[in-house]
Amino acid sequence: MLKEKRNLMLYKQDFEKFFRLLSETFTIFGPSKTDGSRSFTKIDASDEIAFDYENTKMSLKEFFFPQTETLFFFDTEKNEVKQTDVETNKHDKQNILFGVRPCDAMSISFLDKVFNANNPQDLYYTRRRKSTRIVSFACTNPASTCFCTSVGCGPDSETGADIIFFELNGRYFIKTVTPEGEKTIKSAEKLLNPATKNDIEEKVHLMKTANSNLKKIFDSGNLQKKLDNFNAPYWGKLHRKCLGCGICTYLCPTCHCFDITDEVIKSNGRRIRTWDSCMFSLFTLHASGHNPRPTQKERMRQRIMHKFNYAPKYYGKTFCVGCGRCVIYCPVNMDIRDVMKEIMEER
Amino acid sequence: MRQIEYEIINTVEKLFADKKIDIFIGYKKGTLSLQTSPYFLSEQDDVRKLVWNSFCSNNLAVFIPRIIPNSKSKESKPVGILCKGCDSRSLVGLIKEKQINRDNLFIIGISCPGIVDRRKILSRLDGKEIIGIDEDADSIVVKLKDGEKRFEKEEYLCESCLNCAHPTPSIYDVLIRGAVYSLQAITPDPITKDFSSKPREERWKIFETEVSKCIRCYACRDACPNCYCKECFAEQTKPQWLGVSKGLSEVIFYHIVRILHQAGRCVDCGACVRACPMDINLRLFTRVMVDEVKERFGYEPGISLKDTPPLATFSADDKQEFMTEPE
Amino acid sequence: MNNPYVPMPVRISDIITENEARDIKTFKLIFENKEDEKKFSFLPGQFAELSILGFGECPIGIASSPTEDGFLLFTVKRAGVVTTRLHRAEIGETIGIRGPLGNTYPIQDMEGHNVLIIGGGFAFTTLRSTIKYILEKRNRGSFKDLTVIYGARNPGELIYKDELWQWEKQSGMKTYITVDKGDKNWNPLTLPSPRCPPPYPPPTSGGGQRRGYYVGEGLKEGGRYEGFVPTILKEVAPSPKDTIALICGPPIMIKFTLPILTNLGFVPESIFLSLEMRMKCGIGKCGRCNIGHKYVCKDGPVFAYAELQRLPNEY
Repeated sequence: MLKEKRNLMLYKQDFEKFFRLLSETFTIFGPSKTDGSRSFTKIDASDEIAFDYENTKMSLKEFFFPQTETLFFFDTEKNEVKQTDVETNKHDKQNILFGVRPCDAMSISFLDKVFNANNPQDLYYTRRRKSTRIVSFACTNPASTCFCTSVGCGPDSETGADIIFFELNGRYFIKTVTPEGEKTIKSAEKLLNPATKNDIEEKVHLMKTANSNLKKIFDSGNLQKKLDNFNAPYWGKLHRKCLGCGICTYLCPTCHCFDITDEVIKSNGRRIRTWDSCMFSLFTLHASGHNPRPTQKERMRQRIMHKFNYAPKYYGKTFCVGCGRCVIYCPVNMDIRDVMKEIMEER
Repeated sequence: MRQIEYEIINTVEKLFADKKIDIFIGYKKGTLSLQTSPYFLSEQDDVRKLVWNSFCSNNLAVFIPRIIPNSKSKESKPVGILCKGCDSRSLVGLIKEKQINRDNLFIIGISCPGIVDRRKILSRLDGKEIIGIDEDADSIVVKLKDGEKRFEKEEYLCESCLNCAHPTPSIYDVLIRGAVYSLQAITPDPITKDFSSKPREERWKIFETEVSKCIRCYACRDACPNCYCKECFAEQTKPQWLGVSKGLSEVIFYHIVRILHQAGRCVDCGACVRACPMDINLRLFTRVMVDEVKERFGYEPGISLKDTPPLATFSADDKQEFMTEPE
Repeated sequence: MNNPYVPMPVRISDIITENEARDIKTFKLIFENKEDEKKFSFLPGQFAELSILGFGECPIGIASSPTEDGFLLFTVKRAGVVTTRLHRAEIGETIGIRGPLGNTYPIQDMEGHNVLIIGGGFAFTTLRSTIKYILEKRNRGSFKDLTVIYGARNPGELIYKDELWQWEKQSGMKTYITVDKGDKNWNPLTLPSPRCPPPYPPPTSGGGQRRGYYVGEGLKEGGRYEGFVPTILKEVAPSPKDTIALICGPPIMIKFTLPILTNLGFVPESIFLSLEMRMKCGIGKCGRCNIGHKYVCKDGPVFAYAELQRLPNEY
């Protein structure tokens, strides 16, 4: 951690210069106007960034943990594994993810616990993680579907970020969070001035308003305890309208379940890992035909329990950051906030 | 609208009071503006939470094969369900394909004025937060922090509703009549006609561009009442028909097979396109199948319980000019 | 750096068909690279992912004991895509292996105690590893009495037959072998059948006193039976005193075995089960094999019954 986090100011008219200086050493990705902020894409010029976006449709996880990833290539005729680019690929340039929402930044700190921890380490994820800096953008105007403050996150949460930006009137308030964050802005140091007392006050006021727009719907700490009741009656009802599709899990920034399969064309093959979802019936189906989670009831329970009960026990964190993607895109309006409320109300 | 809602509530209340049903599937207010949510209610639940408005978009027939698992068994009491024209057509399909038994259903049919496409409205709001919604016969009024916006329903209906030929259910036990959208339905659909008139390369390009957005969440399949297979070809491993990656060829394969499986069965309800999180224009391709089947075989699925689906029968004068030698 | 997803090459040096139905085979594997063999240090109870390029991977318990040098044994039932392909493999073919994965039977805790091993069907694999490990000369002194109860549907479905017949005769262990339904060759060995009440009063405790049950030349302890594993377990009633029980078998066997052990006086802390789940990564990342907040691949596959009682009943 950084001994002293610095508060710096950047005038908006200098942003273009700032961007250019950073792009000399970094490849910059961000929410782009061109794809309607569908996901983080490569940004070549500062004016391509969609600053006013709420959040990208696809979460940040796909940057570190893509939906399809080659673990290695192989030749079936020679019966030989050919190493993947994990070992060989050189990364001359480091990446910056610019304009990440604090919830997504926090989600990466959770995925780190799964993939980056030494138990054993996942090289594919770690490689990308090591070469990437995360620059967050505090949410001054959270969406009605956001519930980050209910799950220990917030519109100005710093967890997972190297640097966090706050948009003030005519200028950006920049806070460095990690030593890597400090190094990231080094080349643009001359554009930055220390924040004054007034700047800090303006920032505090701004975030106060943002925070007040976010209602705390439930307390995820209490929730974990509540959920220890595995056979609670609500599980028999909650799932009924669930269609069993994978939208909530695929758009979720913390869901990280995957499948490993082989793909072969003639003698050229690759072993890939692909996103998978606990909402699918085949997820836990044994080769013998036995399925420990035979209906949507068990599958929905698994998703909720994994996030709010199992993950806190296993990783010490609730695996939900309140980004609201599952709320927005669920085709039957299965609103996780409502599900939580219902669980909390059950005696 | 309110009047119809009362009628639905009264009818359902009576069904429970008369012990005719134990469970009813309708809609309740959603947690998001411009959206409702499927509502499963039993006698002890609040029947007054049932709603009827322009955002009752889910095809509720999708739940029926899941809660009535056996087509042959006669349940002690039928399941009550609210059906728009398209929902009832889906039920007809499920009955004809022997997935469910007509006796296991109590259908409250409702003549449907068309469903408003929430995404069309949202795209006009520049991300502004909606505070409230008002709805009258012809328009939706969206209240924003800085005023309100009026949307004429006619312009904002879902595409499948814009060209719906059967807004009134084809089967029902009770029918609640309301205003129906009065535009003349046209076959082929103007949108697909335009698509079909394009050269093959261009059609392929459009298809490819659309399905390349797919993230394989299978929401299109899972929202569709026709997709009741216990094990979908897309996930079968013995044999494996297609890989699980997001690669273009896999995605194309999945969507082509899904679309072809809908031939002569798709009722053009639009559930798939509304479920898709990636805004893939799925309806465009299934509607081509609908028009094709109608043109070739004069068949529309879901209209009658009696006629035989064209792909389940053979007639000597079936058109077969498409069966040509490969070029 | 070690990539946990890349399999190490191993050569199939022998294939043994274990059962009459011919759907259970044991594969003897030899590492192609000596360094890989050195790294592959394991204890009984662990498993590995067997990999066939173009088909995928499947998690299989290690059937050989770490005391058996120079090779690994895996007993595989033909079920899914990978196991079906594996059954078509020939001697000399190279496949892949990732591991060792998961935890082990509580070998350290078992030392200085009696060990009761209860196995059913083809899930006898890691238990074989354990038996072999205990019977190894330099280890045998660390454990007290060894009792093995093993059952299969019929005599043809018993696996590791040669070893079973050997264990029956071996001193220092009691071996009870049972089948749900015997055949011509099995029946004469079982007199009287445990289904008929014995002509003399049943002894009060200890398997060793049930000698009236065995027939057959040279058997020292134990015997052959007809009946389900839980029934035989009840019949032979091993003492819970100072004993740790290890169980691996089909769910139905486990379901009926646990209450009998409990009735015999075994505490949940002294019963260990090895579980199966659908798995992919085997290293606690892919998120599919959890029972509650435990991953079977990483925190298991061996769980104390006491721990399982605290976890959701979802396996």
